[in-house]
Amino acid sequence: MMRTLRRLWYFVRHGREEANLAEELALHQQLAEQDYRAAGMDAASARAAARRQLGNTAHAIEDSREVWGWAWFDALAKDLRYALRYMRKHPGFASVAVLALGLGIGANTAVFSLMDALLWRMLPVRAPAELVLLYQATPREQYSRFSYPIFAGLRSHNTTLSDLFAITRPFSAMVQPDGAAQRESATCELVTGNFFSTLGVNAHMGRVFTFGDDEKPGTHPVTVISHAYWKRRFAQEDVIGRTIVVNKTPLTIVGVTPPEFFGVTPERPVDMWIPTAMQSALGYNMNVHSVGDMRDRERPWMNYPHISWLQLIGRLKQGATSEQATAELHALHRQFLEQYGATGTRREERLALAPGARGIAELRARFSEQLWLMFGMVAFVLSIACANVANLLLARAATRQKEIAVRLATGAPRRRLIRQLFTESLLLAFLGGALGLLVAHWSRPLLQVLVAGAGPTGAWLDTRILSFTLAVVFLTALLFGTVPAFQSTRVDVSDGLKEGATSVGGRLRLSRALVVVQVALSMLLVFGACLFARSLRNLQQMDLGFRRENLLLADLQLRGLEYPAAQRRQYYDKLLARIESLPGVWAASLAERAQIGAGTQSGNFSIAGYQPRDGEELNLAHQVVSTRYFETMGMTLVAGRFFNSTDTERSTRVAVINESLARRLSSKGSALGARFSLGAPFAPPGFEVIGIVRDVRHGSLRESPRPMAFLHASQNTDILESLAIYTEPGRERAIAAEMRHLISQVDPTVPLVSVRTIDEQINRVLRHEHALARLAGAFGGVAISLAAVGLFGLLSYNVARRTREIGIRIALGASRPRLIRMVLGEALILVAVGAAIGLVAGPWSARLIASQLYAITPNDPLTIGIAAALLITVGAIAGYIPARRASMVEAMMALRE
Amino acid sequence: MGASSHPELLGGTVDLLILRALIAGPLHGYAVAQRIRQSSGDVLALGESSLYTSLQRLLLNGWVKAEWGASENNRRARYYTLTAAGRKHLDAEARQFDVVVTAIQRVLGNA
Repeated sequence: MMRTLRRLWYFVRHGREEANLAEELALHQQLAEQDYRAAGMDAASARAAARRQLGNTAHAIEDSREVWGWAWFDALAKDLRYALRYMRKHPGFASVAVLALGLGIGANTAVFSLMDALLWRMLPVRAPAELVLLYQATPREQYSRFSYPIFAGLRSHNTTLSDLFAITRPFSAMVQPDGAAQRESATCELVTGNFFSTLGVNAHMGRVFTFGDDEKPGTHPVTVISHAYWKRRFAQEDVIGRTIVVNKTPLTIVGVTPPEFFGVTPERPVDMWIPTAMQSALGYNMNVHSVGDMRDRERPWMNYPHISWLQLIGRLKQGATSEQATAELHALHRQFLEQYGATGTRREERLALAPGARGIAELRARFSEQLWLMFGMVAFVLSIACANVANLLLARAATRQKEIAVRLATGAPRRRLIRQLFTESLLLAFLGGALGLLVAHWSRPLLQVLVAGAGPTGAWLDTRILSFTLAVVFLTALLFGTVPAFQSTRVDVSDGLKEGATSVGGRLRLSRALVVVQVALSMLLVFGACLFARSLRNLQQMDLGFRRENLLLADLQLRGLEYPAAQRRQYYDKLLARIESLPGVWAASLAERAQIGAGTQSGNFSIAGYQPRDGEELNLAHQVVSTRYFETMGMTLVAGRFFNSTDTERSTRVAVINESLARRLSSKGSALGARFSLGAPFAPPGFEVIGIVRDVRHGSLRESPRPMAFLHASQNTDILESLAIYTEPGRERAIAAEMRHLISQVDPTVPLVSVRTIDEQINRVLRHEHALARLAGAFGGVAISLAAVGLFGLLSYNVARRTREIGIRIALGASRPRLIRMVLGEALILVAVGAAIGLVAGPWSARLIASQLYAITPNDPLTIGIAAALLITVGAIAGYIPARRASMVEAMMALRE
Repeated sequence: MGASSHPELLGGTVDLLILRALIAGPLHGYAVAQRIRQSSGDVLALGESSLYTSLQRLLLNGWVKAEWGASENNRRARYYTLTAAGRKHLDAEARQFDVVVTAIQRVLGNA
């Protein structure tokens, strides 16, 4: 081993080693010359004598090279040639092995490349290690959003950061480049003017923003687009000066970023960067936390210290430590909060810094778990592939036994044979690796669905990924090659040379063990896949608290249209009346956002006559809806009433709340008639509770229902863009088709963004779970197929080997069913042992994925049963063909052979 | 994978001579040749090619270590030091050599 390492070391630096040797030889000559002169020779003859004695320098160097390297290369080349010849002669064996390894290595490479991009890689910007993320932490929670005035204050007053910029989260917007016939979706991000300069990103073309591009709300209609978007959407034409309409606002393209830059969110590469000053012009209204008067939300957010919507990233000055910056920024932040009159829990917040070198990944924690999970699964698949190939090698060793015995007998050292067998394994692994790169290339987009399409698209192969693949190739070669190489050279020469030799005992035991390992591992994967599938089913079938049939959802876009509030209400009424007049429509209503899958809006609230305990935070989700929202959605009234026509702009402000909120509002008795207000402290008159509905899901499906209030459209000015239509059964499609026409009839300037059924909406919300279930299913399928091939191979080989014995049994009167039972029995025993191991390990290891599951426990007996039954069925099928072949053996033929 | 090769008698002998020369302490290549020549009473003069090839082989097997130092004429010179493994190898090979030489002498004497 050491010897090999030394040899590798020499190989790596053989250039220097040869220079060393040349220097030694020169010194040698010089010393020899000195000695000759000391012995009385004149200068010239001393030199000649020394040179004569030394001989040819180049020759000496060549000799030494042979000692270290050449012999080695020579042997390797010979082994490789031999291995290639063997593979050409046995293409079936080689292709099965390479295919199995290719699948395994490819899946691993794909997952690794995704993990690398999302979890480990540094941002491609100047000195990423200097970047810090700012966030605010209370003892209970963490916020990463700040208001613009606080950002501006922190930026101009600090002395520890060389600069500080602010961004929103990347979001999807409907865009329409000039010349395009239709609107399409693009990922946008609002950034402050110093975004690019702080990161040290220059324009690939045109220019990037400066601070002057981001000063006054609504006055900077410019955008910088990413290289990837430029390539994808504009085919790299000259786009500088062209316009793109984003949510109705035309923006001029001023620049394109360099190819490697994707923004600061590796999970979501950005297409277009737009100045924060354009927030209100674009109607950006997402990911916001506000305290105080909600009506401010319709004005440009830039001016409001109590609307928090920006994430901050700073660059530490040279020499400044993160501790110094934290202390200074915290003090400044505290000072601004006081200045802007922040109240309640916000005063406890501590400002803190996190390393920003890898960018912002709010979902990193969530993805991280899933990616590791995926990595575990593909590692299992690769292990199964290794066990499979090892088994193939063992079976093949049986057929090569004689060849190996001959070579041992003629004096080949065993070590030499092991090396040769190992070279063959390495060659297989390399071919598998090459195929793996292709597999990775194909499967990467599928994996990306899992992380919600996150991560870079396009080129992904680089030296990091390639080194990983290479490492995996060597590792797999070691894994599957070592044992067979040793096992198959352990041949008793005299036995091995005998005709039809059968020294197979140890090998067979090993083969069986390998099959059991494969079955056990695939049991784990199949079990996991079943859990994911059933968890998905649970999510799909859960009680949402509202109807899931005959419901259509449509998104309008009213933001960015200059619609005064009063006119907007007239529009709502007109639109709803028009839709409800359609045949087949039973009810229609509007809400701020779809009940699920469109995020939530939440804020603090206060209860009339109630002083919150210290540190108690009253938080609710809220949404403004039109009168018939509850009927449309099919929500169940528990007490009181729904909204009706008596609720108007001038009547008491009312609210319908859910049971969770009702419990918070009044611990005893009914919450009907209770009053609360949004924001704190309580601001009379607030909202009066007139109805209580059963808890409903809001936002995501996994989250258990939380306190929620529905407010009425006539009493609130919020923009309602989500349309819900309750239709006659079977009429959804027809009505969906009429939607676009109908909406343009009511007002041609209002665009319809999308229409879908509630089912489609739920599936969209669950696309991530779908992807996980599908992938786990695919891996489980690959695993079980590999295990089946392994089992089939082992049994076939056994039957072939025992043909003579089986012939004798038949001759002695064994019935064919009995023979089938014999072979099938062996198969089922192997599967049962493997499955049993998998069953013990399954629920134990499934605890690792418990957080990914919904309403199903890792030791769910039904799932265990399904997985076991599936495996045994596959095992029986894999065993039946060899079993049948055994039963077909012709006694006389077998005996005569 | 351990030591390999069954070097021909001559090659093995050169290795042996070099290892023996290094017992007294580290030497550079030229000094090794000088030491062997002197101690053999000027009978054995090593060809440089085989001397340095042998030294490389000894390095590869981990029987000697090499370090750069200054030569007597103040040039950079590579000094070879016997390792523990080298010493063990020397002992084993020397014993083996004795057996072989005795056997050869017996054969030659009988003839």
